[in-house]
Amino acid sequence: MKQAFLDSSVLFTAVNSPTGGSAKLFTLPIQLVTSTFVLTEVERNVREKLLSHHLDRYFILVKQMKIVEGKSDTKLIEKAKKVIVEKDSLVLADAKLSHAEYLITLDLKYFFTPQAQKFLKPTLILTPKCSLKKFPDCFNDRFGFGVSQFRKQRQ
Amino acid sequence: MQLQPSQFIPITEARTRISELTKSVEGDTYVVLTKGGKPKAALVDIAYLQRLQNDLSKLYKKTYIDPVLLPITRQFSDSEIQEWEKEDQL
Repeated sequence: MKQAFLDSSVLFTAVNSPTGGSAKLFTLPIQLVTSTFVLTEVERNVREKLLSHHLDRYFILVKQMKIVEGKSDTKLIEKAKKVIVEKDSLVLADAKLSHAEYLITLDLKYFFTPQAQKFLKPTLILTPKCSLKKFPDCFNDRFGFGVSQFRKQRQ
Repeated sequence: MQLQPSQFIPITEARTRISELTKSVEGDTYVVLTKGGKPKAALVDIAYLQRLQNDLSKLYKKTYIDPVLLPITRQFSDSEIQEWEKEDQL
């Protein structure tokens, strides 16, 4: 079964908006993965920003996920800091360590750069919408080239 | 939990009907007491209240938060939460 690593933006939004693309990911036949860092960050924000029923929903969603230990090695985090802002470097390193096929994020500003994609290869960076609806076209829009071309490049 | 208009009763009226109202609250059926037209208190089945408190207590004790990682997490801003929701719409 294919694996998709969810970052904090996707897990938080899946808790907050049950009808959006992030929540729909939980209905697909893929193994959703996240890290202890993402869980810590999301749970902190669910408790501080949302209501008690959201916390209940958060626990239900996390039960469906595979959790990778967030013991990212320092060297990998340092490398990640060179291609992405510091706040997202730990997530990028965790996603790399998870060996998931996809990193799903809603953070368009920092994750959707050729540098971050190159760092993470062979993992593809996608939004929930891309992974649900129009994956090849969407990928092309974000990075300026198609998936098949990307796969050739990384070989 | 939905509040039905019939469950809103002024405190002054409740004083004279307290025995009847106490009998009427059972399970998740409860009575809201109002003062000056605004909800002020509620008359609730004690078993229901205890169950709610226990459920909430369990919910808040459970956690995936790693205390070592917590200091390096950040609070999301309202604007980025809105941007994520917008991007998430199908």
